[in-house]
Amino acid sequence: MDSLFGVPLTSIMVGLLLLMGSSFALLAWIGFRNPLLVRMGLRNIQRRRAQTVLIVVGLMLSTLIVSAAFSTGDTVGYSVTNSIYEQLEEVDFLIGFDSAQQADGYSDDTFLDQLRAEFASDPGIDAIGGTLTRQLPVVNAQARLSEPSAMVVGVDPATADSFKGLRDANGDLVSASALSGANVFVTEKLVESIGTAAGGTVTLFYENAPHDFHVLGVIRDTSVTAQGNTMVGGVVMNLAAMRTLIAEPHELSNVVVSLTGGTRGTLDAIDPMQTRLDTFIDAHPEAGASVDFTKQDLVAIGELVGSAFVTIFLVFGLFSMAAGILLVFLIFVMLAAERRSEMGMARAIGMSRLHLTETFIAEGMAYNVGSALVGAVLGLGVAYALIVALRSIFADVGFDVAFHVNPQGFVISYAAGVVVTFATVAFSSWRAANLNIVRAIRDLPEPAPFRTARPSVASLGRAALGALWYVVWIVLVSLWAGATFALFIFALGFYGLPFLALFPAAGLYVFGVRAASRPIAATRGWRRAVYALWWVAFNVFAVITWLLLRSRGWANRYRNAGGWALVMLVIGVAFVYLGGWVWHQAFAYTAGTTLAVLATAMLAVYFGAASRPAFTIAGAVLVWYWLLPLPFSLLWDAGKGWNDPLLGLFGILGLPKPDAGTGNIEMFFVSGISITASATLVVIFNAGMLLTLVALLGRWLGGIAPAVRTAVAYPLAARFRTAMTLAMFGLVVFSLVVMAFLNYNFTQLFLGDDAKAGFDVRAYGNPSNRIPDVRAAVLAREPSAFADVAGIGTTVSSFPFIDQEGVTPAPDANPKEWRYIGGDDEFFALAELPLSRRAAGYDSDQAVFDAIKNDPTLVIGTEEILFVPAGPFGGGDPTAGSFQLTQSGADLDAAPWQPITLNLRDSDTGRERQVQIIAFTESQVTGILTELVGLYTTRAAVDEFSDGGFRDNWFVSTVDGRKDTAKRVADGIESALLEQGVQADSLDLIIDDATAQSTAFQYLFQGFMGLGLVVGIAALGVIAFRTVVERRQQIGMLRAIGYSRRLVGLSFFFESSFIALTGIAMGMLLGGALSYNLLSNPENIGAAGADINFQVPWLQLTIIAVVAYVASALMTLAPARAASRVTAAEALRYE
Amino acid sequence: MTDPIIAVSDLVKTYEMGTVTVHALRGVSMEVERGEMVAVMGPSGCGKTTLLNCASGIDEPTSGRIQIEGTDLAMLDDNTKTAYRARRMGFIFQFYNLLPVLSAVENVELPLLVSGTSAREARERAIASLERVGLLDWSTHRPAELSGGQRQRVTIARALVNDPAIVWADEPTGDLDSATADQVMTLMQDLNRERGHTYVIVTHDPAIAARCHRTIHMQDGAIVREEAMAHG
Repeated sequence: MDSLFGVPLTSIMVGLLLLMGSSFALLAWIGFRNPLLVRMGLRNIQRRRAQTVLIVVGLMLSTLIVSAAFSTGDTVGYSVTNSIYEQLEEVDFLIGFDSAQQADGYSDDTFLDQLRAEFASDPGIDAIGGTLTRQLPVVNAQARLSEPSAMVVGVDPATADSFKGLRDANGDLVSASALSGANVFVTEKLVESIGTAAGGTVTLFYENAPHDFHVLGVIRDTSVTAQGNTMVGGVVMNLAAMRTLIAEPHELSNVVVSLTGGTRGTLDAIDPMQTRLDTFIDAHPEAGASVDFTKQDLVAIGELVGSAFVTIFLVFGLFSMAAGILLVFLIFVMLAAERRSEMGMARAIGMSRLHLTETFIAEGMAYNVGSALVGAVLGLGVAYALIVALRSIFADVGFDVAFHVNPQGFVISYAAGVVVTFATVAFSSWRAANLNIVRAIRDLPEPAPFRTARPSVASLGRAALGALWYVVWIVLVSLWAGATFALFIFALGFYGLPFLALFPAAGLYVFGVRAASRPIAATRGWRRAVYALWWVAFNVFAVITWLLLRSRGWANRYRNAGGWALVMLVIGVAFVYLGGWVWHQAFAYTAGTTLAVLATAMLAVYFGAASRPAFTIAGAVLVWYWLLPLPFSLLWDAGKGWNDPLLGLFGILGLPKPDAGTGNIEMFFVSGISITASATLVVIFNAGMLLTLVALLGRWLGGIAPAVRTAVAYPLAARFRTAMTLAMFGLVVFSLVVMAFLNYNFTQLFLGDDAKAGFDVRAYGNPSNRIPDVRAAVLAREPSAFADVAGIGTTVSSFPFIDQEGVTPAPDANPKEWRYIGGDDEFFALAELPLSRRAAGYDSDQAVFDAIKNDPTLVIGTEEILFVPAGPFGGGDPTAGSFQLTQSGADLDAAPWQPITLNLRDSDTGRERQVQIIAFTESQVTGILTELVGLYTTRAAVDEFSDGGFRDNWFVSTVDGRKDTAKRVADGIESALLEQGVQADSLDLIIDDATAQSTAFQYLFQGFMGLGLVVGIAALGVIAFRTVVERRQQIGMLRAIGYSRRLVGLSFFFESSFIALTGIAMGMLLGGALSYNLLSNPENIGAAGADINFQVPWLQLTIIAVVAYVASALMTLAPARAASRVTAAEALRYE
Repeated sequence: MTDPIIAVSDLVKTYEMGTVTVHALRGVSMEVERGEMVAVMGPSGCGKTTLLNCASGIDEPTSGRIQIEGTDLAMLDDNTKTAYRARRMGFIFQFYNLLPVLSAVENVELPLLVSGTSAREARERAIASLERVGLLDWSTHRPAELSGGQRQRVTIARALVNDPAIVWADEPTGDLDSATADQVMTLMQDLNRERGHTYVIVTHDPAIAARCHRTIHMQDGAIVREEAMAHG
């Protein structure tokens, strides 16, 4: 893997290493300037050992997640790339023949001979060869085993060895010169299917005639043997024998080219050679040749797959990482709370805010350095577990995953962990250091942050400018420091040691900066003279530096929470505007709205509104906003345009409406954070009602009522930390719940009974052995196979080129094909093809089916042909390679629509036909039966247009629809038509396999996301341990007034349970609500057309809730026990 | 009064407690001479500690003017005030307020280190300061390993280590038994005599006040009378 999110990994690594280096340099600077501060930080670590363990666990989780994501992606990418190299060996180009010019996509020796002649003396080319391929049934008659559709490849013995694609089981090269007459190699995969061996005989069927071949040996499956189809094994024979077999004496399927440089050393040579090959191909248009793929293309795909895996795991891990960052923040907030009076005293005797921040940073970095390393290493362990799971999933598709760790990914994970934690620690330390000395020393509560004694618009504006300048100041100083550092490194590298001669100038500058930060009057004597020199020497820079330093005090003096709120409001409104009217991007639009609403609440409090109603209203509005249109859709069909209040408002006012329709997978994360934060506000500001409830329920609670009362009262008193923990729990549960809902409903949709389209068995015909009447063919050989068959529908298909009438394709666009399916009467009688959309004039599904039977120019389309716009939560792909109409499902739903006209051109017969789509099927029909994706007409229409079509499929309905019956029928058909290469499968078994694979993936991702639960549980542990220490005296008092040990322990246990259960309930409700919205409006996730019957995955939800609660309960047992053991006398003396 | 080191005029401090405004100081004015030892007395809640906090610059007054050594505190930003406290002021609190993770000597040298004194000089001065309060043998012990009287003496050593112009003491003997309180007070008196430091001591113990040069009596946020002691 070379890049992530489009950024080269090396750049990411260098950037992170620079940031990490800066973090360490800062720590070193603090240690150099004030070693005592570092000592203080380090000694604090020893104060609470149990808490330290939890802190380390919390800190390492972010690194663990990044490391696991990288290692998993690296492994998948490496495995794909490796398998590509192994498959291709020395094949660097595969040239195919375009069926637009060449019937059936085949060529002859002419093109090959011309190509060889052109490049005969080119030292960059190793070899040029031709292959001929067909998929044919292969039978081991002795063992009565068969493969209905093996790849049979003819190679030229004169050149085949140069591609090194024929190797035995040990990897040793096997020479193609042994291939002559009826001698063939078979591949390992084919041996697994038909059980033959060297010296055996295999029978190939071509046009229903058997041909025996002698097996010379067993070779590995490679690109030469697979020719693009890795699912089945193959047979390799002499090209001449292959031509004889199919009676085509000059035919070739592909031309392959090998460059000088071996298997892995040719990537750089591919681009220039492709230019030359393309020039040659352009000069010979009659061949219809084109480069189908190059080794470089496939290796790039491998890299892309690896990168996609990293992206997916990182995005799914974002929830856990966010929870981890919240935990780090919470930990430092609590550490600061614990040391509040110490910090107040330290400030009183002369420690500045910066000193306090530095002490915390030193402590945080000490935790950070070790825990990030542990996290990165454990991440490898998690990745290994994920790989084991992936290996079993991929085993079914014949792909081997080998664990591989890229050191670059490991370094990135570690550095990212250190940097993210450093940033969080630095922010929380800065926040903790902003204390009022007197309140801290006397342990008095801090006033409401947004409240001010004399609010005014002018003071608010000044505060906002102060806040803004504070940010600008930090950015400017960071840029200045970064630029200075970069300049220093650059100058050192460019000029070498003589550059050090500039050190006195640098020293003068640093001296001046120090002097300028103090009042001029404080600088006396020779210092004043040097200071004057500084002004003269650095003039402009000195002015800028002086302004920066002097304005910091101003910014510090005037910034306040109200000012920050105003800045937030401005940023929010700007984001709404940019997202809705300029970028058309859901992230900016929705996040901006959220910021603006929250900022409005803060400003309301600043101007005197009570906190509770202000934040309750803001939280409720945001929950409502994020869950739109749910509140309406529960009551009535909201219709279009009211899903967004701003949209409705602008519509009423007649102003240009915002359009923020597109987003991506990151919207799950944004929505999760926003909904959880908003709901947390509502809960935390209104949880006081729970106390009333507890009071009302008092007499039913019996003896534990006092414990319940304190269990609810304490978290409500410590609102901030309770909110943080609630948000963490809620966020992680939310992510798991949304994942569970989406997976469950899509599995139900695409893998449910509807996906069978009314059939129980599917059978493919082999194009080389076509069967005119399948019923007669089966009955002739194995009549019992049809004993349980209720009906059998036949479809023939061809792949004509397609374009939409009135739409001019892009000039450089390749012609696109689309499946044209002709069904017989029995097929349409048996098939259950519900229609989602009908053109004007067709009042029922039956009217549509009647119409296509009577008019060969009318067709039914499947949903896949519709344009899929991206939704706010992603999906859609306007640049998809396959053909798409210009209309989306939503376009058609907006108003009655007229039939859509398409032009078809058959590549074999050259015939052209204009057809009209009059209806579309629902998408679940093609979830499993992908061969039903296409345009439906009658069999007669396809027969006439494509001379009988290209491929036959049969769809069987059994008498009872049972699984075992379907399996028996499928086996019977396959056995009866073995020699024609027919493959038959029970649809139930296909669905079971697909479900198992989908479930395995789902569990894999849920397990990965579940790592976030560890964060939430660790947070509860931190709080529980902390509260025992914090409330020691209060516990003593409770014990003194009559609380039993049990009651004290229960109170602590209930307290943690209260937070955990509230968080779990919040995550469940919000996750369920968002899922309902997404699934009832699938266009939101770019799955327009999916008709989802919303279902609740009760079992999964129960498991998530129980696991989350039980784990958190276990975590709080120890502190609850510790609390219950506190003795009253000791606790009351405790200081 | 000719050379006031502390000059406070019309000092007002109010707190917003929900919907109630508490007037902690109602226009207090006072002056303290360099080298003077002044006690501030009064009942609980009369504003003694608030006056000390505002005058020493660790709290912001609502209005009024405070000049320390001729410098108006309102003119200094937070960093300058902090640096000034580290260089020119010492603090002694009732509950010692030592950092539990630092040893006695490290606690004492802290104000010097944060104000830029070299580590070696800071350590030498901290040792000397501890020696002056009779705790040289306890210099490597952490606060948890010291008695209440020892802790308060460490606090005094810390307050004096930077050779401050002013020492602010808030109930310095409030948590000590009478014998130890007497020792601590004697120590402060000796230091005041020897080094000429100015002391402002908030107390409600008349015995402590009696050992100062002057006592300021407060009630309901205002100075109600001043009393010069006979020995002063």
